[in-house]
Amino acid sequence: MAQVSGSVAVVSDDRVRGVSLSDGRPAAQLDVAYDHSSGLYAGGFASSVQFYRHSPHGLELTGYTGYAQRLRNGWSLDGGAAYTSFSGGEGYNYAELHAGVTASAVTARVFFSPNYFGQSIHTVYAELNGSYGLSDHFRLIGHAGLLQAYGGVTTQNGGSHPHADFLGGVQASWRPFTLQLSRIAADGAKHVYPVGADHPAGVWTARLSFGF
Amino acid sequence: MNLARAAALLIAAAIGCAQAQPPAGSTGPGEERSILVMLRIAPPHFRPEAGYGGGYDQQAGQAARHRIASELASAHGLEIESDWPMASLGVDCFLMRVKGEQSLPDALEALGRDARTAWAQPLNTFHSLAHNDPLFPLQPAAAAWHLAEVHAVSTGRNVSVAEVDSGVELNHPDLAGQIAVAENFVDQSPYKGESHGTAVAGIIAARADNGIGIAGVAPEARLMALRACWQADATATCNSFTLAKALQFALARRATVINLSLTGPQDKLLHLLLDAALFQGVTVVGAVDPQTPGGGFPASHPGVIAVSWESADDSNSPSTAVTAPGREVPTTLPEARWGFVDGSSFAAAHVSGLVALLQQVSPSLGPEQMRALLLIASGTDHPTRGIDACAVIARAAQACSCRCGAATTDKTVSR
Repeated sequence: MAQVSGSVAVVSDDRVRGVSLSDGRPAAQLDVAYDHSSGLYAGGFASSVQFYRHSPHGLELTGYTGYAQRLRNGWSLDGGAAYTSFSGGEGYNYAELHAGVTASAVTARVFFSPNYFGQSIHTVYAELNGSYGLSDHFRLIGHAGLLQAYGGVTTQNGGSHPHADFLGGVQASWRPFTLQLSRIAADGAKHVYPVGADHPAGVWTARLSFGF
Repeated sequence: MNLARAAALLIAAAIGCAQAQPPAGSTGPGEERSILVMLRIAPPHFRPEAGYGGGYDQQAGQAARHRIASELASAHGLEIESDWPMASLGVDCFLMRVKGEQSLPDALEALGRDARTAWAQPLNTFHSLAHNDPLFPLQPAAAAWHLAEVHAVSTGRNVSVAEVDSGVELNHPDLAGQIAVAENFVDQSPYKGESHGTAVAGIIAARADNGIGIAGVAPEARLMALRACWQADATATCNSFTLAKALQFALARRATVINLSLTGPQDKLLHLLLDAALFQGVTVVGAVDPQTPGGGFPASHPGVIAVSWESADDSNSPSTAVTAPGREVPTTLPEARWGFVDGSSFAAAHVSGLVALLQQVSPSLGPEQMRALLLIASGTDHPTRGIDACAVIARAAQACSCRCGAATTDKTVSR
């Protein structure tokens, strides 16, 4: 038997790994996931994107699948693959593998892409996410990530040093709504991304989602 | 026992019910209609979301589970009351109430077959040992009859139980204040406390929660200690005359229950006195003699509730006998002691206590109805019929809020 779940959301700035894919502007998002009792999962994610100030609005679509398993000690493991495409050409499409482990409210995950954002570079991204419940409705959330590009690296791709991004925030939920306010910091990894250059490294974002 | 008669009995029992009283320790009215429904929590996994990596993605899953739970509730005639994720098990536990007339076992079975649930189970009741009597945990009735729970509904308050037996030690600390009347019908010897009578008295009406000894089955019943038997050794001996005098006394003093933990030959005088008692609405409980075909007299007398104990060879039990605890029963003994006893004498004492409990919640029950209720509550495998005391009290106390009723739905239905 499978469970279907998802959410629709509006976000003040579509920041992925610290980098804005919506030119610092609001975006709308939808995600739907299908979880089978065997542990197999699959899902789709869509977001409006705009790489540059004057580029047309585009659509990012990600399809993913994988397998997750809860261990006896309560931890979970998951691994899978995702493919992300962007409307208006296949230039930025990329595939990525992921593997992670979750222990109560902390998750560690690692990603590998052979063609990150359609470029001939390989990337490894590692992240650590955590949350802490303050009350029934409030949680503190935090995230730290590190992106390392290698293979086919040029100065245009931001050099060969790793790029970090951080997020800290608060999440308030009254089912089925969740409001998240976060402060995001990134160290210029935007060079790895095909996006406009004018985005401050430190920024506040808000995200309101409705779960179903 | 046909259905119409059973229905009439239950209606009569319901009409005769005493005022509704929430049992001690219950957390709220209506909980006896509650069940638990478990929904699987999918293990957390990668989900693309803006910014935050989504390690704590319970929010999305939670809304979905609540949606599924609402769908389940609609489909199965339930109402969601609360929920709590059991992260260690990967299930979200929903407390739901069964609405309308649907029975809990039916609801549980239907939910168990529904692929959307991980499993469904009753909301079981647990309790600390509600009596502070130190020997209570050793009493077979404590577990087998859920005695502590039963006592939250009935204690046999002010029900008069006549014990026709050897002498009861009147100043035994666990019996102090429990004996309303003590009479000696044995001319050869004065009244004295003897082991058999004292043991039977303790089982029926020993004080509960006095911090010592045991708790009687009907700890607030009023005992008539009628010494019609004498003991030279472990066995109590009685005769037609002493017994007849005691029975006549009990009838005159309007005893509600008469306990006869003894056996002997058919006796015309006693036969007629028993008929008179039954006619007068007195419930008579007799111990089965495993060595006599038919169970012996008075157990085999029509209308008498015949009781045997679990370990007995019941080839001689009357077909309408019921079974009650009678093995290694801790009880009061002379010289302010306690000890263990075995035998159908003591099983009968348990049933006399139970009759007193039923009488309190349903005073209009007569001997025939009492007998029928106990037979309904007994197991259907002849000849050993262990009484489900909790169920029989719940049935008699229909209009009362009684946790015992929920205790009978003890099957967990899972896939």
